Amino acid sequence: MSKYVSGVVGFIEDDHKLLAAAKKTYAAGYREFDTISPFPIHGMDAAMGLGRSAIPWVTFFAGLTGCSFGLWFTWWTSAVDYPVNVGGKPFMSLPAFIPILFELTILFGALSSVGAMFILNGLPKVKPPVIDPDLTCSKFALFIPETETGYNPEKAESHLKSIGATDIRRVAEF
Amino acid sequence: MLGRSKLVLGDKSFKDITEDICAPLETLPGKPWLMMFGAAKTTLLFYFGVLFYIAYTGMGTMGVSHPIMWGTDIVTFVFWVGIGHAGTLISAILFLFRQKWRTGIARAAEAMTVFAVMTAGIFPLMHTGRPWLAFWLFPYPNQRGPLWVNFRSPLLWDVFAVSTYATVSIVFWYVGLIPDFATVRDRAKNTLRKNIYGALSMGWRGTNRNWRHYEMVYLLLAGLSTPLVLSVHTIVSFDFAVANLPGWHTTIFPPYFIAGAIFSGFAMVVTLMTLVRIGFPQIKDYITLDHLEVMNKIIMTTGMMVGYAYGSEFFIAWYSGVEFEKFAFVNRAFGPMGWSYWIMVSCNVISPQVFWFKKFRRSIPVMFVVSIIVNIGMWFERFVITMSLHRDFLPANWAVFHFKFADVGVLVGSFGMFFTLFLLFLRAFPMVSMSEVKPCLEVGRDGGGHHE
Amino acid sequence: MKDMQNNNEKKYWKSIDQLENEARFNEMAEAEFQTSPLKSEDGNDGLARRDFLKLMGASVAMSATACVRRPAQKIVPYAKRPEDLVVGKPNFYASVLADELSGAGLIVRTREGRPIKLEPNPANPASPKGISTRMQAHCISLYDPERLKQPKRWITEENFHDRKWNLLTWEKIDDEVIGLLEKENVTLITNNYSSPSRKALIDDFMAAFKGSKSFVWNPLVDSAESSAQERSYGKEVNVRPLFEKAKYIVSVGADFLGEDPRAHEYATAYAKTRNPDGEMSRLIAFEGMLSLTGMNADDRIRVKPSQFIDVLMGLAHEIVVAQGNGTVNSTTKAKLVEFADVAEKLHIDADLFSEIAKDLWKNRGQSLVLTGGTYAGVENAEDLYVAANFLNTVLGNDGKTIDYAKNNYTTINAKQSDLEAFLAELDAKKNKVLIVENLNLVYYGGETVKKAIRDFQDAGGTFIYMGFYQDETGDMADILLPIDHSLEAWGDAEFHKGVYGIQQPTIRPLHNSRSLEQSFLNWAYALQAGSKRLQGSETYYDYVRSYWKSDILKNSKNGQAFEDFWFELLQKGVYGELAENVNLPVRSFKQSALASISSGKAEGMELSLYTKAGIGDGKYANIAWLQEFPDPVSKVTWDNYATFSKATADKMGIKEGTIVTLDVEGQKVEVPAYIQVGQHDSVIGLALGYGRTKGGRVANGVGVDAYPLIKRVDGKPVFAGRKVVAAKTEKFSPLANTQGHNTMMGRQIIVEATLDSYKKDKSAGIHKHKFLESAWGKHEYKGYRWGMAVDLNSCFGCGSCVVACQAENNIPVVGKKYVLEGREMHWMRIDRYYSGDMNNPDSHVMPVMCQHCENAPCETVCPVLATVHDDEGTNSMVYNRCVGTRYCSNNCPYKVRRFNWFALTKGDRPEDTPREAYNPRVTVRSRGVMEKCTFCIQRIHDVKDTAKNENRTVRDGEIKVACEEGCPSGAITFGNMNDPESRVSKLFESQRTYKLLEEYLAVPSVRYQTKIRNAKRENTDHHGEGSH
Repeated sequence: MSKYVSGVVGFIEDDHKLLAAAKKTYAAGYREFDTISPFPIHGMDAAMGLGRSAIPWVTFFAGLTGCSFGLWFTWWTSAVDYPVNVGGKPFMSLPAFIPILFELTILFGALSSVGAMFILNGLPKVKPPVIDPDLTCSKFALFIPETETGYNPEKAESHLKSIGATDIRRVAEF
Repeated sequence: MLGRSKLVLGDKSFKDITEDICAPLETLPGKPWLMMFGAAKTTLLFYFGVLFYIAYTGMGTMGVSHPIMWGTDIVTFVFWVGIGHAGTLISAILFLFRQKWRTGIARAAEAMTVFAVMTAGIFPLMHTGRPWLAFWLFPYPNQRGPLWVNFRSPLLWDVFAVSTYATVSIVFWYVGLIPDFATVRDRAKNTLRKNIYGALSMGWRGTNRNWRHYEMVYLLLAGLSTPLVLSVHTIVSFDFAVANLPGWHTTIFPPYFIAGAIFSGFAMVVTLMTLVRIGFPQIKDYITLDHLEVMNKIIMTTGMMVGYAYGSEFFIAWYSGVEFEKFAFVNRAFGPMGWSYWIMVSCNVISPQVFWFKKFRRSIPVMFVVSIIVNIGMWFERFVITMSLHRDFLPANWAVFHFKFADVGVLVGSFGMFFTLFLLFLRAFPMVSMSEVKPCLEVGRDGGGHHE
Repeated sequence: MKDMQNNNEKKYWKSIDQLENEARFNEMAEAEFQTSPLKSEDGNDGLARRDFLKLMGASVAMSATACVRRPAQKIVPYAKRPEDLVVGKPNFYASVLADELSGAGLIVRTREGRPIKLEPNPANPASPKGISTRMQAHCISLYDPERLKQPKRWITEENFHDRKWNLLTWEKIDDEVIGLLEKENVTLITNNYSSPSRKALIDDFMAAFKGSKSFVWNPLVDSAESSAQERSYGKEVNVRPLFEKAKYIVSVGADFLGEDPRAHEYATAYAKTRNPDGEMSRLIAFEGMLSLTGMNADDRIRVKPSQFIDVLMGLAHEIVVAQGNGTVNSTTKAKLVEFADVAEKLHIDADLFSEIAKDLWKNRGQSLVLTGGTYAGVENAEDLYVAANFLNTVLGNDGKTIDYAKNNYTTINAKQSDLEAFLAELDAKKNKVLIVENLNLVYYGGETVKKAIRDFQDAGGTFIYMGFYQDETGDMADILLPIDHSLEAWGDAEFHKGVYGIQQPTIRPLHNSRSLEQSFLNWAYALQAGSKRLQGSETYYDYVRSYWKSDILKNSKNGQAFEDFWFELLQKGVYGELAENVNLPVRSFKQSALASISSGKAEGMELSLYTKAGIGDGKYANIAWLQEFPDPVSKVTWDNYATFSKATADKMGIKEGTIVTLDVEGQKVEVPAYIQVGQHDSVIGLALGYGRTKGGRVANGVGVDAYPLIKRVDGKPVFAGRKVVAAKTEKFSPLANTQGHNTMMGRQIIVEATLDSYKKDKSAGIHKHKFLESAWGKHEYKGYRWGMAVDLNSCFGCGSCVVACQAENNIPVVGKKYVLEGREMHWMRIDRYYSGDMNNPDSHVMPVMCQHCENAPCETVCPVLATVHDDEGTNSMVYNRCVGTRYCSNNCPYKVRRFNWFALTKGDRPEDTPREAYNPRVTVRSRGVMEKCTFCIQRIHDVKDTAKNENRTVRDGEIKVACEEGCPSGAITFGNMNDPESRVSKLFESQRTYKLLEEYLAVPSVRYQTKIRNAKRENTDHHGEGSH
């Protein structure tokens, strides 16, 4: 769970401006900064120089696990631990087991992806500090944390001003 | 499909959207809602009563008998599972196709899915002779020493499919809700409310580093739900198709069932959305006539698909040359229970044809009536299929199904359960996904919004 | 003794005492024989009684566990368990069931001293294979909770309607009766019986009281037969048809496979002649209603009862006059000529008619002309018999296929007219004591009898009823005495002349009951009246022994000592040989007997009263098994009904269940209608034995009482041919019919071929299917693999197997309401289909039980593995595991699975089987569980265990499943398919064998053999040719 950090936040009118601002900020050498918006903004990842999320790998391997577990489980229960003659079919009736394998693949894949997302996002957060309640409604902001290399509040503020932030605050923790 | 027409009517700002959508959560319910809820809740209690009566007295209280060992319970189970499909279809498949118009109805449709699946889930449980032992269908280690379940049985596939489907839909739905919960939390005045929605939102703050993973997961879930939703009704159809009963044992069932599911599901969405629009006028701007029209088109299309299936079933039965199959289908239409077949055909194939006319496609009363007729028809479709049991191989066994009180009871009661849940949802959760609608604000406005 | 034990295989030959302590047995038995009558009745005397006890060790232990009277004396703790009694192991006792009209040797299966099932005694030369539905019912009636449990005397003087009863002790009763007997004489009337000892005892007793008179009567006895014998041949004798010798059988209204009291015996014999590979017999049935015999006939011709006489005389005319065979005097010829135009008069296909006559003559000496029974119980029934006798004499069958040597059936010692005599006697009021025993006189005799008894009582007579229930008759009695069940008392029977059976009790009387015999002994002793033998016997057991010693053994060449004989008798249960291969000279027929015969006057609709295979005369109406037993012909349960032909019903606008009013010369009954295809258009049938008012909670109010419709012409009952007027009402009462549809829809279900086509092609009628390779490999069955062959050719559809299965497997009864909903539970059903012309169709029957498919479709779909295959090829049902999804039933092509829709075994409904009657070897199923035929798995295991202990394999035929055992005609064969030598394997190889719904590749372990009809018609589904 990520520690809360202090930093400087600048409010920006709308999502397009925020996107531009993020580009500039990145160009200015900032790496740890973050943007806050009520909805995901297309291209923001690129603007912030973030690569593709790693979650698909989690999904893939989890799905694989689910599938192979299903295969093993159906085989072990039906052919090894409790082999009974059912309708004259062989103990290992693979075709009949495929639906099970399929469902398990999906189940494992889905649940672990969501789990991964929670972990990567450090969720759940209990009563996290909120800069402005409208940030989940209509406002947009760009936040430069203290963890930024060579962090300096003044420089940050001036930078924010330069990229057209309307309202700039210092935040004790975010 | 409706590229230029606006997704959100009445030049809204982000703020307006939030206001509109959060309103039902933050105001006290009005009379209409209370009345509907009262009715639904009463029906639900009645439902519990009926279920208890059945479980206490025995399955013989229902119409099922020898040789018709499956009846209302299974019919209604398939009916509700089918309803569920529309939600997943809208939220997942249309999402993959980047259909922006889905955003307005996705949330409510998903809610419908979840509740429909919950409602459906009761039936396979209650239709067993000894419901208190139904947990035996799950393969869990036990002291009865080696004893497992039969993975060859379609019913077991059902257990896996439906439970997986329920789980994933709920997760999908919930993940979609997180940012909106955050919004509600941040708007909350009193602390209790703040805490509840705070907990529900899991402390979401909308930073882009979170949005990044969030969007990816949402995409993945959509990607996983799509084959899942198809598999679920495929497997439900296997309950019939895998059996060797004439009238059940047909390969067309999976696609036929899925088409039927989408058909009935969309009909149910239309029913609900028309009601929601009446109950919450501000929602008209988000769930627009355009939405409804698109869905009506889909209803008509899928309606014709099932119509095609009805036809091809007969053809194949004749073409197969199997005397039992031939008889089963002739009997289905002209036998002692043929009446149900004709209800099915007229409701599912004929009634949606009115949507050829734009006037009707866009008329709330028409679509409301048709959507209900369609769902009646779809219930009877499952009924007709199940009733293939009534005349099978050995004529000595033949019988006719008789409805009993409990049959009607569970059918009506299940609606009580569904609507209770849905009405609560309308009041407790944002019924439109704000974080999804907001980006689409410009769609259809001058400049057509911006897409990278 | 020893070698006798060795050379018999069946463990159950063990009698009531171990062979080892034979010595003790003898001395004890000896001692018992000498017990002095001076010892008091109450059992304080000890010795005799205690030994008697030992003799019945098992039963004693039983009486200890099931609490019965006077436990203090009788308890035998399991700590010292009686020999013979191993907990959990069945004991078998040889006994007999002397039903009113027939008798059979039995093996009684007991568990912990509790009789639970009757099985046929193979050692009995005279008794049939199989166990009839009513015999099974007889066993369970032992536990009927509504049995009379205590001696009673009614006290309120005046009105008969609400009578107060005093429960009394036997001592009190005895005092009163003895008091009466000192002054008064007795009029006794009992039901038919076949027990020689009993007869002797009653005679002794009657002799002891001069002026006493005893009568025997039964409502269904057909005494026209013996009187017709006298009229035809001058000697009254009841003859025995020898079916096994008959090649060509013509039955005119005689339902020898269905309602005849000895149907099982006849079916056994008849089945022997139906082998299509041997010389197959041909059966022609002339009848008004559709009976089992008609259903199984090779050709069936519809005639109404009043015209049966024309058929017989017409045939005689064809043979004698038209075809000039045989020699008769001119008067007879003249008489026959009156019947020249029978064929067209009766609308019978003339060619067929004369062909029948020809064939009869061709097969002379080997043919058999039958009539009689209720179907032929017309006013001139005697004429029918005479005509039949004439034909049989002309055809030289007399003495060949008809054994007239002696009174074969000693059971039949009643005359219908005896009722009149009895009533006269009663009316005379000479005797002030009336004893009615085991005969529901008021129900059978109706108002006349009721009034007679009432008058008798008003005149100060005492009416003592010794009965099983407080039924219609018992309710009128002054003194009500419960009698023992035949499984509770000693006795004997003479099935056929010279063939005796001993009736061993297998349980102490459950209630405070006492048999007529014992009562008579006590009373005679107390009054010092009667013969030495009468007074000399303390118990009826003693009496039977002394009777056998003095009378039966006397005329036997058997040299052995009585005790050896007696012991062997108890073991085997039977004594004496059935005279076989009689080849007697043809008796001279008194042709004058024909003089009085005149053609039947047939006008309007005719009533035909009959009895059903289940309920019979109504005696067992309180046994729910019989009420729910689907009638072999109509498949209807829980009701009797007026049967109409299809045409008549359509004409009158009647549907199944429409209530009609039958007006029979003034007497009216309202009864639901049933449409019986194949019935003569102007015949209306109605079953007797229903409409009980005091029969018990099950019996009361089921159906309507048809006995009042029997007309009595100078004592002789008229069952058939009375004029009846039917009127349709608007009321409706659905009939609980267990069969959904009556035609095969042209599917290959029951395969049937004519003899000719069978001769050409052994697998005639069977359509073989081609199969693709199965995707799966097969499972191997090492060791045993159980299979069953059902020969449709020897199955007559009597349904004995259904009830046998019910008795063996604790199958619950659901009641009419639920049968109507299709919830009946029978594991075995007999599907009955019609084909051809619906006015006179061919009937086809097929027993269907779980087919134990190799690729069982039911197993694949069960989610919890509650139904799986065991390694002996049977499809097992795991009740404990079943959650009741019912998917298995949906996927079963044969729909043989039954579901427990409700809790049916709680014993809280009148229909429920009494708990004592349950078979402990079989699980009692709970609600919500699926069940079905298990191949009597419990029996398989029992025999396998035995075989294992003797380390050998199970012998073929050693395992007898319940249905196989119940079947009179050996249609069902069970065995090991893996053993190429087993009967089953052999049958499966026969080309007649086919699998039901073979094309679904379920590969059943139950396989059927095609039915062969010895008829000219070609295929079975011939349309429009059915009628003749």
